Amino acid sequence: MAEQTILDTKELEINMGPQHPSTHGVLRVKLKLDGERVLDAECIIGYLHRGIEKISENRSYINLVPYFDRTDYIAAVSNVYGYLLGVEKMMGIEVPDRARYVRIMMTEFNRIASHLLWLATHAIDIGAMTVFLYCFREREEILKLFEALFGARLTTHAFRVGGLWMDLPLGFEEAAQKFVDEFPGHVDEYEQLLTNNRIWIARTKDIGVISGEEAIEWGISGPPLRGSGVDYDLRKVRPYGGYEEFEFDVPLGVNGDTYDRYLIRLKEMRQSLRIIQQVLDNLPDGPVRGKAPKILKPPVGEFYSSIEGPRGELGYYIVSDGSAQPFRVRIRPPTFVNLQALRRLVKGHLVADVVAIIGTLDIVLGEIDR
Amino acid sequence: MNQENGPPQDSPPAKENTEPEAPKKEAASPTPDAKQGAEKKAAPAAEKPKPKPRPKKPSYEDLEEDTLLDSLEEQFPQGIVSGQVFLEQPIYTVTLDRLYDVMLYLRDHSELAFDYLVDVTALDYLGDEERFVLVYQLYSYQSSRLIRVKARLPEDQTAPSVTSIWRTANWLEREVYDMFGIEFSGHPKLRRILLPDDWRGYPLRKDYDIKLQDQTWIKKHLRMRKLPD
Amino acid sequence: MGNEIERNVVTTTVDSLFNWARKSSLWPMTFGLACCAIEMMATGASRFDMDRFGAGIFRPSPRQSDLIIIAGTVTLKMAEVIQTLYDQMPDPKWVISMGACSSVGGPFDTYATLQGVDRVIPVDVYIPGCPPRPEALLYGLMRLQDKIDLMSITQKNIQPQAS
Repeated sequence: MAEQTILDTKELEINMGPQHPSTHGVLRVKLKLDGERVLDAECIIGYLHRGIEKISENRSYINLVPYFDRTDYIAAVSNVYGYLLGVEKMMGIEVPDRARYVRIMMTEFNRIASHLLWLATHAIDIGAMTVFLYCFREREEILKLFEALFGARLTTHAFRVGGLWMDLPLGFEEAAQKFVDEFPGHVDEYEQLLTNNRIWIARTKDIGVISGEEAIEWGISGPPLRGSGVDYDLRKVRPYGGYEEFEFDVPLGVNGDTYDRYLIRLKEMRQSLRIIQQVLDNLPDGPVRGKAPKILKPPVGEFYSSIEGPRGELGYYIVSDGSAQPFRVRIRPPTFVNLQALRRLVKGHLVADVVAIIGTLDIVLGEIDR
Repeated sequence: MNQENGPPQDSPPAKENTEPEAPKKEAASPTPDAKQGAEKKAAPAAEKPKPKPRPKKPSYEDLEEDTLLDSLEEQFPQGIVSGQVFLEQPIYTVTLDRLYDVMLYLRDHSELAFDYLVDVTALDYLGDEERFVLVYQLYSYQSSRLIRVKARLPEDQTAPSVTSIWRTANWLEREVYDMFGIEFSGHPKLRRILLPDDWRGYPLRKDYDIKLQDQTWIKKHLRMRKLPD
Repeated sequence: MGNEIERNVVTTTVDSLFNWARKSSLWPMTFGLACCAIEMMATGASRFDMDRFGAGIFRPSPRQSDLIIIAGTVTLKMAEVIQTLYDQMPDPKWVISMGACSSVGGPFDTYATLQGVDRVIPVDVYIPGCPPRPEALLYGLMRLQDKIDLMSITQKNIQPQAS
C-alpha cells in the first residue's frame, strides 16, 4: 500500500499565463501534466479582446484603417493592405502602378520585420539571447524606413484608399537598397548562431511535429502549414495586388517540426528580399494615389479579401449595406486558427517544449482576440 | 467639397445635408456661386471617366452554368435556396436543416473535396424573421476553389455544429456563440471564448450597444477605484 | 587619517541613500499586453538599451519586481489579472501606464475595454502615444526616477513638485 502511494503519479494541472514571459502576450494555457509530460492543454484567450469587429460597425470605412494596424501590431502594414484591397475591390478603385509596387515592397519589409521579431522572441524563449539583440538591431533599420515613409514605427497607418499618402521620400530607395544589400549577411549571422547549434537542434528538432494532412485538417495556414510540406501561399494561389508580376519561391518543409518552421521563416526572409529587389529595380514612375471618393459607400454586397500575412491567411469579410459604415467586417485571423492546434502539438512533449511550440506558431494575441 | 469626387448619385443627399444648415439670407449670394463652382468642378470629373467607361457597380447575380450548384441541387432538391455570385465569389445559400448534410457532402465528395474550412462567422439582420445568417468560407486544396456557404436561422433555433467535419470549426463556432449567442448543437464544448464565462449579453448583435459593459460582472470581479478629480 | 576619511566616507541622509538605490535599480516585470509591449521590447533591446537607466532587468515574476509597465490595452477580463499581479508585487512598487490605451482607453471605447488602468490600480507616470516611441518610455522612466527621489521613508504620499 505504501509502495503504491509513492509510485502513484497524480495528474497535475498547472496554469501558464496570462502573465508569462514566453506566451507572447496574454495567452493563458492550462496544462495537464503527468510528471513533466503534457497530457492535455487548454488555451484560454480573450484577455485582449477589444471589440474591433464591433467598432467596425460604428466607424466609416476610412476611419477603420488605424484599427487594423492594432489588430496585428507586428504586421500592421499587411493588415491594412488586406483590408484596403477588399475595399478597393468593392469600390472598383484602381491603384496606380507605382503605388502598387511600393505597397508590395513595404508589405515584404513588414514580413521581414515580423519574422525578425518572431525569431528574436522565439530564440530568447529557448535561451539564445544574442539572436534577440541581433534581430532587434536589424528590425530597427526597417522601422526607420517605415518612419521615413509612413511617419510611424509600429502602428503605421501605412496605405490610403487608392494608393499611398505620399511618394517615397528623398533617399528612400537608396536606404532600402542598402538594407537589401546588407541583410543577407545578417541572416547568415543568425544561421551561424542557430542552424547548426546543437542546443537549438535539440530543442527544436522533432518538437511539435504535424503532418501535412493533419495540418490541413486543423485549418493551419502560413509558415506552420508550409513547414509540413503543403504548398499553399496565397501570393501564388490567389495573387493579389500584383504579386503575379514578381518571381519568388515558396519554401517548403519536410518534417513539419519546429526546426523546419524556423528554416522556412528564414528562407521566407530571403525570398522577401528578392521581391523587394525586383520592386526597386522596376519601380515605375507616376502618381501614387488613384482617384478615390472621400466618402466611401461600397455597393450593397460582400467580399472576402484574403492575403498571405506573415502568420498565414489573413482574411477580411466585408459586408456592405450601401451606407458609409460597413454592415460588418469580419477579420479572419490566421493565428486564432493556428493556435487551436496547440493542443494537438504539445501533447506528449515536455513542459519546456510548450514554450518552443507556442513560439513556433508565431501568435499575436491582438489578432487572436481582436 | 466632399461630393466633388463622389459618385454622381451620392451627391444630392450630401448637398441636402450641408445646405439647409446655412442661414439663407446671409448665404444667399455665396451659395449659388458655390453651387456653380461645384458643378463646374463636377463637370470635368464626370467627363473624365467617359473614355474609360466606369465599371458597372457590382451586384448579386445568379450563378449560371455552375456545376457545383447543379450537383448540389441534384443531391439536395429541397435544401438549396439559391446560388449567387458577387465579385466573382460564389455564394450558396442552403436551408438550415440540410446545412450539415451539405457540408458533409462538400467535404467528402471526391471531386469537390472542400477540406479547408477557412472561416465561420455570422451576420445579424435585426428585424428580419430569420434573424441570423451563418457564413462559412470553404476552400479546396484539390481544385483551388474558394466558396461561401450561407444559411439563415431564426433567433430561437440552434444551428448544427460542423465540428465533426472540420476540427477548425471548434473555436470559430465558439466565437460565433460568444458574439451572437447562436447555439450549435453537437458542439463538444460550447462555451464563451473571448469574453469572460459569466459575461451577459452578445456584443455583435445589432441591438447591443458598443459601450454597454456588464456592470454585474465588473462589480463581482473588479475593485474599481474612485478617481480623484 | 583625516585624508583617509575624506576619501572613503560619504555622509548622506537615509532618504537619499534609499532613493538613490531604488531609482537606479528599477526592475520591471515582463508584462506586455498589446502594441506598446513591442515598443517596450524594443526599448529593452539593442538600439535603445534600457539598461543604461538601471531598469533593464525584466523579471518574470511580480514578486521580484518593483515596477509594472502597463503596456497596452487593458480589457476588463485582463483588469482582474492586473489587480492580482499588482497585489503580488512587494512594496515599494510603481506603475507606469504606457500609451493611450492603458491611460484612458485609447481608441477602444467599447464594451470590453477598461477606460484607463488607473481605475483599478494607482498609476505613477502616464506616457502618451499610440504607441509611445522608446524615447518616450525612457523619458517616462526618468520622470519616475525623479518621483522616487522625492520619497521619504518616514513620510508617505509625498506629491512630486512640478519641475
